[in-house]
Amino acid sequence: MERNRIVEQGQRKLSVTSYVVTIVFLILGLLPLVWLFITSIMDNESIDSFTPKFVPKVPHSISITLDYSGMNNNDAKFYEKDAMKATWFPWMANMRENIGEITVTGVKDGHELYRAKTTAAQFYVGQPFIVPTQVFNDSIMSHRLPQIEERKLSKFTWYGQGDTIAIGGAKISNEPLSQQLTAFFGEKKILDGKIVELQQSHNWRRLFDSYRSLNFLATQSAGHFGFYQYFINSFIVCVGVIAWQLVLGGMGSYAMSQLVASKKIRFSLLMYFLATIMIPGVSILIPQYLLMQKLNLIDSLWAIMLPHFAWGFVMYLFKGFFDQLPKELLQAARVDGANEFWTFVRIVIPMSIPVFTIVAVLTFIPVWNDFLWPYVVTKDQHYWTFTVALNDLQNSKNPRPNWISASGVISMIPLMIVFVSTQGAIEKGISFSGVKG
Amino acid sequence: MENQLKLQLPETNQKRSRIRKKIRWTPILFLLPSIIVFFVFKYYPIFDAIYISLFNYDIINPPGKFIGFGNYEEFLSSHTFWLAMKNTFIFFILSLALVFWVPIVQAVFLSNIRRFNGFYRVLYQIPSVLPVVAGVLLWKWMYNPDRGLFNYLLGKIGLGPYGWLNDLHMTKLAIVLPGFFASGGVGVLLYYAAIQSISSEIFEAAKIDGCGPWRRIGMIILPNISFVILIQFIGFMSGVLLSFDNIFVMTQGGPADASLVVALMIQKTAFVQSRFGISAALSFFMFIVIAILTVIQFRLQREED
Repeated sequence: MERNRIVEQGQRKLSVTSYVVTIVFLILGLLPLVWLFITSIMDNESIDSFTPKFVPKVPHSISITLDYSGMNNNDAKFYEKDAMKATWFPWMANMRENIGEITVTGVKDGHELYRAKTTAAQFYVGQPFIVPTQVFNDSIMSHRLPQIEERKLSKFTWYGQGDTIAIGGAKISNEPLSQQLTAFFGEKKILDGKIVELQQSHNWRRLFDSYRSLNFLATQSAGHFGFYQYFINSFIVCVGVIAWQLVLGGMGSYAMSQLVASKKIRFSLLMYFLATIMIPGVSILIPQYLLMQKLNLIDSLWAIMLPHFAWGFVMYLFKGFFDQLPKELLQAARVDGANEFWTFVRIVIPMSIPVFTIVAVLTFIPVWNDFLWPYVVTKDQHYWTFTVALNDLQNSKNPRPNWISASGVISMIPLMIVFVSTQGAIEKGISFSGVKG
Repeated sequence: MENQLKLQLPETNQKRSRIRKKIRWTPILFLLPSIIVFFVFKYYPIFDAIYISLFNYDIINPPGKFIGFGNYEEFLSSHTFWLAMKNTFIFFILSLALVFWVPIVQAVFLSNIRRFNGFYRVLYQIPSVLPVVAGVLLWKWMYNPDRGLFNYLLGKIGLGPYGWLNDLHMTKLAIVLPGFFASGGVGVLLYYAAIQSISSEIFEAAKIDGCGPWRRIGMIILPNISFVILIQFIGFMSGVLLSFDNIFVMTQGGPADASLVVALMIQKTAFVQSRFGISAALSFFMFIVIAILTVIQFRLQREED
């Protein structure tokens, strides 16, 4: 059928060009994002190398079995320290080898004594203060053990008299890394247990350890969720601002559009709100900061949220929509005796879902991306938004590029969901307002 | 205009007065929160900025010594301010050359695609969902002179190595370049919507007159969306003038002030040098420029509707 259509001269050429241009631009736009994702799952050595690597390698998983048969000590701490020595020291010595996890199993008289598991997520967060140097001895680990426990940098499970485990001969893997580790243990003689097994494998889940790292990162300043706390903060701020805009902003615009009788007052109200679009955020940075100081709100999420409550653009958007509401319906509700608040809730809101969606989306995006204001108004790390934290992460002493990439990927997710799920609303909103580019 | 409805209500006198009383109070109640936040967080601060700008502001003992327009005189005669203005101008030219036209071209060609059009529109949005700070950090890593992707790839074709962010002459280009890649975004949708709203009769008439598909881009599409382009252009100007996040995260204004702009000066003079007075004067200057641009943009917008 298509074939029989008369094609205008040049149309085909234009179609082909259109596809080519579109696809080229799409690829150009998406390439940096692909690179972002690849670096987020790449090991640090590959990212740091002078010739960039493009394919991430699945990290090595090491499992070590230590035998304590014949030892009289029953103190769990003693064994934990030994397990930590068997984990952190060789890992530090072989940091360039892309190790993903080390599992140490302690065995005594054929019974499983303990199991200690440490992943790359934990190791790279802990490395700067647990094993900062290449000096490995018992007293260092004695000092560091409380820190490892406090920040949950290794998962240590004590069985005491666990399941029976059969150890059949010395099973040491032949792969180069395993040989290197065995040589390390043989040379340093730091362990109390005897290495009876050292196996090597691959676990693809360790690829995503940079994402898990964020959970262990900054736990001291930001709290239990680590770096994820910053995303939570950003999210709380967004939700707070959207809630205000939808409820009180919406009510205000509705009143301006439908309830104010005098034309003059209506116009001056609109001008009052709209004129603020002329005031750029950076121009009122200092007075707003001083104001927050006076209100004693510095270092709180309120300080980040409050200035976003006053957006002339939103009032304008709302008013444009409310002006077109059918008057008869509102009037009918009033005749039925509903008060204005109920009219708003029962009649106006259900009819205005599109504009509420648009406002929510157009509020979410800039607030989520906001950097300067939260940067200025929060000094306490507990109240940082992720943009501030990211900027700090890059300036920190030991920034791992894959942490930064991983948090970049995560920061995209909410916006991606919003964009894809409300594409229609956004397009409508644009043709509807057009003010903001 | 339609709000005389309360007079039309066929109700008893009592009921009418009750409603009238309510109508007098509810709008105030509804509007009060908005009026208050707009006053506290917009109007008060901008007047405060003007006030502060007239003082040699003392943080410990505010407001300090009154110096009239001293702050304005100082920044207008300072070398840094004019350097920042010059940098802004260069940023503007670079963005114009690298970023501004891209969504227009994208939208024009997109409008020629029928199949999967909605899908392409969604894809165009995706690069713009990466928050600016995260995007800048990604690019910063790619610009790394020793280990970055760029010097590696350029090296393959025999170029470089370049200093990128460390190079006085390349910093500005390096800051603007990510915008080229992520320029899709909302702009494409805006132009696309504008092209879609051109009436098909115009196209048909042009077709009959023998205006081919390529010529139609130049003769019909572009002239018909020129107004949208103009409005976007004004917005683009204020956007360039106000850009802060990307420059701050990328270079903090360096090296040697090569990427310093007025917005950065405001932040630095206030929070690094603690000279709030001069920072407020710069803020007010910025406000005037942006206000003028916004008014022009809004006037044009009105005219278009």
